Amino acid sequence: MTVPNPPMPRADGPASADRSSPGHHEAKVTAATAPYVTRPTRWTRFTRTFVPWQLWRFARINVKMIRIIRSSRT
Amino acid sequence: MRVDADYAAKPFERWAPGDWPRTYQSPAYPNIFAAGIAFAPPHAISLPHTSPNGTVIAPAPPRTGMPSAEIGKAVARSIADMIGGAPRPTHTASMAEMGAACVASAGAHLFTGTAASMTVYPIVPDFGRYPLYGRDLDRTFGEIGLAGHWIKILLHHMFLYKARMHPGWALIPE
Repeated sequence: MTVPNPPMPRADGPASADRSSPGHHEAKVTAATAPYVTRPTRWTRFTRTFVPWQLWRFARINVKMIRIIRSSRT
Repeated sequence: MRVDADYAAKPFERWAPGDWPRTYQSPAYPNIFAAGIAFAPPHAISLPHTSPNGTVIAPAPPRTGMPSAEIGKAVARSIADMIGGAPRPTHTASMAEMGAACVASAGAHLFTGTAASMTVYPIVPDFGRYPLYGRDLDRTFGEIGLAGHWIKILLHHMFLYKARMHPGWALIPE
């Protein structure tokens, strides 16, 4: 099941940056402040190189890409 | 080169999948087509943003690799049919109706390399069909891992086989 991400903050929201320079804009969204920015856990990093799991993912990703290719045929 | 797209200037809210070209035929010169990176996109594919230091970020559509191959096939078939007497292009390949797959890999070793694998469908967001994000989330994903690296190695050998036109080459997708 796919869970949609929370809505992103608008880029034109209230500024909290150094306002001394007219053209300066501070980034509103950072990895530390945005709850939807995921960081890989130690387990996730482990699975990225765990061969048995990656063999399964190899098959799954291939199937996904074949579906994309089939649905894109002209 | 300008083709059969809708190049009228319009705000992001009025961008539509129908703005994107389908036949890639020049409206000024009907015997000229522009496939792949040769055609001029009507606009970006996502809402343009501005970086903190003022640089405009306007996501351009990917027109190399898989999309250009599909567009090229459609254009080639249309040209062949027009040479045979068809009055207009007979095949279409809109980027609003096709997906794309991409693998960016690093490293050469089978077990120490890694890659980011991603697919997107459709390439041009269609908020009519997919109101929330403009894309089919079942067919739009990204993943980091060794599996993508293996896929890249597999694709490398498959594409070289296809380029050499060995037996069965036409069965290998672009």
